[in-house]
Parts: sequence; structure tokens; C-alpha cells
Amino acid sequence: MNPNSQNQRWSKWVWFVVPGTIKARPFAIVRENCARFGRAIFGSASQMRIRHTRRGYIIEVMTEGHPVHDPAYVKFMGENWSRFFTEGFGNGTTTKMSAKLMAGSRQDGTPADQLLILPQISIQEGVNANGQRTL
Amino acid sequence: MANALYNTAKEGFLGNTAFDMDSDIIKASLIDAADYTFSSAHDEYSGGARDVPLAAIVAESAQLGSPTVVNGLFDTADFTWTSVSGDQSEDVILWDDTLANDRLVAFYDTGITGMPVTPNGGNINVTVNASGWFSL
Repeated sequence: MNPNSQNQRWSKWVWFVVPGTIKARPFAIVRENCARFGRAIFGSASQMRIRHTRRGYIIEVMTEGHPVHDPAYVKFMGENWSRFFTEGFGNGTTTKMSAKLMAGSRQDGTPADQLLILPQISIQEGVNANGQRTL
Repeated sequence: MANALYNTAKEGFLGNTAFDMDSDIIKASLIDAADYTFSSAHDEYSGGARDVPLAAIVAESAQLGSPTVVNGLFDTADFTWTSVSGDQSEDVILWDDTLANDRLVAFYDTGITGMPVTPNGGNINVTVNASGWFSL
């Protein structure tokens, strides 16, 4: 994947959801339902990450091809997801959403944003040339 | 090369230098590989005996937000290099802006999605790995 190739537009969408008090859901069910809804809304060119914190759920989606620079589209997505969360968790559910262009054009004449995704360094035990254990 | 921690950081984490990753000002720079060759022995990002030439630095971040150290894993919030112009870049350096002469922490040149990147005057958004910058 090269997010910086021409004609691609990558965006990151984040929801913070505090479930209502009516319906408690196992994390596995929440994850499965969010994945299914996300695939339906965003399509398959997306990555989703879901975390469960003490205060609620954080759902992050990195996706390609959606006009995140269009406020009407962002509002439309916000309403759809808010309805989805309320139907899933019950009344009283609160949802906060943010949407950010990560790579691609804003179509306003400014240079396109570009995106880098970093790997992690994991220090593992190894053996050096002298046969000594190292990190 | 491969992604690696600098020796100065490893020694610092063992107590030789007062690295405090979740309290110090930690920054990240975009590096032009044509002007910088990694050595694990490099230790200073700036100062009189700087190991990273100015010509190699294409962009510097502000202080990285939300630094955490949990279970030996260092993580921060995602960040943006704003309005970047300059040479095509291939590497990322993580460094500590609090310590004298800005001590080097980690070097990344492998497995970065989107690299090499050619600055176009716009923003470069950086997503930190879901598992953080590095773990010990």
C-alpha cells in the first residue's frame, strides 16, 4: 500500500462511545458488529482498531476513498454511526467523532497531505559475535 | 540498515543518562538518507559535535503528545510535520529535546508505509505503530 500515490485519499475516523445503561455487550460482539458495519459503510479498503477502556469504546478506522474534506459527508457519517451505536448500546449512548484527512488532496488548491505509518522496534534477546547474550 | 535504538538510548535506559521518555520533550524528525548514515554509536542530534547533519533534517516535529511508558513500551500520539518542503526523505529519527545536545533515541528506515516521501509543501501525517514506537 502506498498512501501517497496520486488520486488516493486516506482518512482517519475516530469514535469515542460511552454506552448507554440499557444494553451491556461483550467486547467480542461489539467488535464483530463494528467490523460488519464498518465494512458496509467504508468498504474493504479500511483498517479498524477497537479498544475498550473503562469509560467506553474507542473505534478507529483508517480508510481510503472517502471525501473527508466535505463537511456534509462527515456530518452524514457522524449521524449514521451515532444511530448505529445508539441502536446497539441503547438510549443514553453518547458518541464523539473526529475525522481527519491523512493523505490526499483537500481539493482547495493546497498541496496534498501525505501519510507515513511507522513500524515498531521490538528489542529481542540475541547473541553477539562473541557468543554473549544481548538485547 | 534496520530500525534500531541508538546505544546512547540503551545506556540511558540502563541508568547512564537521565532519559525520562514520558516526561522529557520527545520529538521526531524526517531525515534525508542521502545526507545521513546511521551508526548505533551516534548520540547527539544537535550541538557542536552533532551526529545528524543539518542538511539531513527535512522536518522536525513539535513535542510529541501523550507520551506513555507502559510494560516497557514507549508510545505517543500520532503527529504531523506541517508544510514540509525539501529533499526526498527515507528515514525517521526519534530524539530527546530535554537532554543536553538532544540525545538520539531511535532510528527508523525499514517498513515505514509511505516511504520514501517527497515533500510537496503540504503536511505529512505520521501514524505511530499501534504497538508504540518501541518496546524493551
